[in-house]
Amino acid sequence: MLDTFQALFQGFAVSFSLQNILACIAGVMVGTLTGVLPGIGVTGAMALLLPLSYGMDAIPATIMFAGIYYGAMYGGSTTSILVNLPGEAASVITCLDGNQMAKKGRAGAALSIAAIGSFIAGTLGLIGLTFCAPVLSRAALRFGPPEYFAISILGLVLLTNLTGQNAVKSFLMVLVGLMLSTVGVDSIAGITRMTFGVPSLMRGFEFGVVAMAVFGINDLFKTLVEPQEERVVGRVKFKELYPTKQEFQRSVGPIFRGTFLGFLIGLMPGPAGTLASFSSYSVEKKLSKHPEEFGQGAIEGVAGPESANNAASSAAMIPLLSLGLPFAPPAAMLLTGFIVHGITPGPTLINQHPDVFWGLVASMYIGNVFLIIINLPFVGVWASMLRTPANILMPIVMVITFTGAFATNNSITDMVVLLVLGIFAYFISKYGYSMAPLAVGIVLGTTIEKGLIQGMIICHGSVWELLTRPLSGAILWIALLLLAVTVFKPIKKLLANSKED
Amino acid sequence: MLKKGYVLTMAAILVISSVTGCGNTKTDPQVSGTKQAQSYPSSEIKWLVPYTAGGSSDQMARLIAKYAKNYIGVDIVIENVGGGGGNVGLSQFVTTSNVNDGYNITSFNTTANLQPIYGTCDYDWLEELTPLALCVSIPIVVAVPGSSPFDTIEELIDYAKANPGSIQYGHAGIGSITNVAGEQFCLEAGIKMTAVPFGSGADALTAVMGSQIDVDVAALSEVLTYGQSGELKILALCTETVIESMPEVPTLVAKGYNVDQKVTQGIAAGKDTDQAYVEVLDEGLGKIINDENFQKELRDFGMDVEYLNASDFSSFLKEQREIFTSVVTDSGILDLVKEQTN
Repeated sequence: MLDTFQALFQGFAVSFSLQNILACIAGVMVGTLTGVLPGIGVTGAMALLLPLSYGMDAIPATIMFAGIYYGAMYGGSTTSILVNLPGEAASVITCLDGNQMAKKGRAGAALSIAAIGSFIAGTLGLIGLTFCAPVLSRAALRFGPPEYFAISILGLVLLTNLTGQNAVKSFLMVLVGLMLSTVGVDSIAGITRMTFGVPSLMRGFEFGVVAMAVFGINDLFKTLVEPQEERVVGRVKFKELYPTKQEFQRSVGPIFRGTFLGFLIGLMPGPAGTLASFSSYSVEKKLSKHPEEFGQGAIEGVAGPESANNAASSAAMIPLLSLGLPFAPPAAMLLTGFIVHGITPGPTLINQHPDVFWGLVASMYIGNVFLIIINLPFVGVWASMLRTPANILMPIVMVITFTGAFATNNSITDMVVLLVLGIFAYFISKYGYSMAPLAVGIVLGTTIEKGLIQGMIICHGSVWELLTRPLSGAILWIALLLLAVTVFKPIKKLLANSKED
Repeated sequence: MLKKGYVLTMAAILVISSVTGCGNTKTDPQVSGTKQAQSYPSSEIKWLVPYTAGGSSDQMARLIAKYAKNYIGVDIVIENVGGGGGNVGLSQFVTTSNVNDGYNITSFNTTANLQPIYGTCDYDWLEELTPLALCVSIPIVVAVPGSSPFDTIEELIDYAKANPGSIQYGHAGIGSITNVAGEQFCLEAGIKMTAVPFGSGADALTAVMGSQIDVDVAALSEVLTYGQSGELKILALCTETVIESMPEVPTLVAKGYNVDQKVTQGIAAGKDTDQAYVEVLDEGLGKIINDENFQKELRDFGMDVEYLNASDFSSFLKEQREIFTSVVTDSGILDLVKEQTN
């Protein structure tokens, strides 16, 4: 423990050099920008900056790349809140309540809480990284494909009725999401599925593009088609820009719970950031005394998920730094950034390059402080954007969305997907179907499929073995139990009603 | 006050859209195909990398692009069109209208020589592309967790012989090169192992590190550091020659099993590209790949140079195709893929 402190202080000594501080600032600023811009993912941004880092030393280069990675989680919520357009996959769920808050004139509060929650979660996640990285990464390896399958099933059961509207409609939307996730070349056998001969559909539906379509474009159509009530354009006073005391109090619990949840989920391979934010939202809704406020602009629905995705990004550094295993595409990109500079993350990193490891960890503490300093003053600027009349703001947002969709893969097809799914989402949400379950289906679809196929082979083709393997079994039985309760409840209600009659 | 907010918004949007624009889309000047060879190349060459940014193919392409100006005289710009295991990008490449003008090149990797056998892509890349150079080859290895009871490849083979099918090995996906190497090893050694398909080499590595599977058949670059740190035991190389960094690891060929498989990464142009242009590119790429600094930088990425010029690369690919075809047919991989397609 004492050794860790000593090493960490040496790390701070390394990261406080002018060069490293500048690298850190550059990284987190690019990261924030990446987060704000829809369609520009963390992975893409890092790939573009990789050649720029060739001339840099190893330590500042790795500090910069890590900065982009965790910085993006700060910016992701901005467009979700302002214009219902997720800037990053992990901020999809923030659209639900964040945007409602903005419509009620509380955009500033939502943005501030997102930034503060991100800061707390990022820092707490780092403390976890500093003190228990080796232990946690060993634990994470105990999870194999059968466990990923089990967790995804549990996620599906817990997250299906996320928005708490009509259960049947939510279930249908999850199915649509699962179906959409099967389009393209499957990653196990390389078989092309449901592309109808369109080559560019072989890569499947990009989650970011789908999210932009079903939230952003959907909302734009709504603004275009339906008569808008005059938006209150009045000047927001400085004091009103930031959260009220009551809003703060309501956010404390969600921030800490989100951090804890996000950190655990972040240790798992797959779309951890997105899953973490979805789970946190679901937990907050279940715990809340006013669940009816969710979807109408509950600050808990911003505070929890935005903290969770930051904690997840800190946690994802653990398998990367201590085992050299990237659990998600951005982590893989970060790994590339390290390797370019002759540093191979892995079990030997701490001993072979203590200056790099601890310098990097220390720089992340500093980077988190910078991020909150950079982001809080911008709250006012962003919030004032909303005073732009819809007839000017919306076309601009539309252009950015389409540019972003194109930039994701340099593909026209993604723009068509954006438009078609957007129109689909607009009509179907008119009939009371909500889009969050669809997102859940898409996020979990691939993990479920892969986990099931690999898990069944590992379990020698026996379902019973899958259900009795200690970890996967326990999780699956919990999921089944929850499912039984969910199904049983309405039946019981129905029976009770019929007795009364 | 309304006006100020408006101006701010516009400013923010302009900055955002300009960053988005120049960051990701590269516009190329249209180049006419009737240029004389003397003046070729006169403008930048576009390299369509059919994989997402950050992977080893992308890294190699970007490194070559870095040296292009010196040796070819013009810049190479990279465009990533990922997805479908390279099929999306390659399909787009061969259907580009000016694909044969000498200003369009693409990557030609092991996968592109495997997929046409399965019939999972619309074109046969070997027929649709003109090979220019082979740049990288990475040996395939057989690795087990550090805690595994197997210390040598013989122990693994003996156990697998006594317990057919009980050993589970991970590979990067049905029909992938690691799957082919794993099955060829089984055929040669007369054993049976259960193949567990993962979506990527990294997923298979994670599983073997956690002892979820017994064996990982993987590219050396993925597992080298773990072999050195003892987290994994590298039992054998699926090649003819041993590697410098771990000379104690035996090759399967030396053990009497004729398995010679590696991940290769090369470069190709459109099939009807003018022979004069092909020669210029062949020579220029050869100079880049033989540059010492280039080789050093490539090694930093964990890739080793294996250079073949255009004609040698072309015969290498044809020979490789024959081996692939016989292994995937004999091992039943082909039937497995066909079964899933129908």
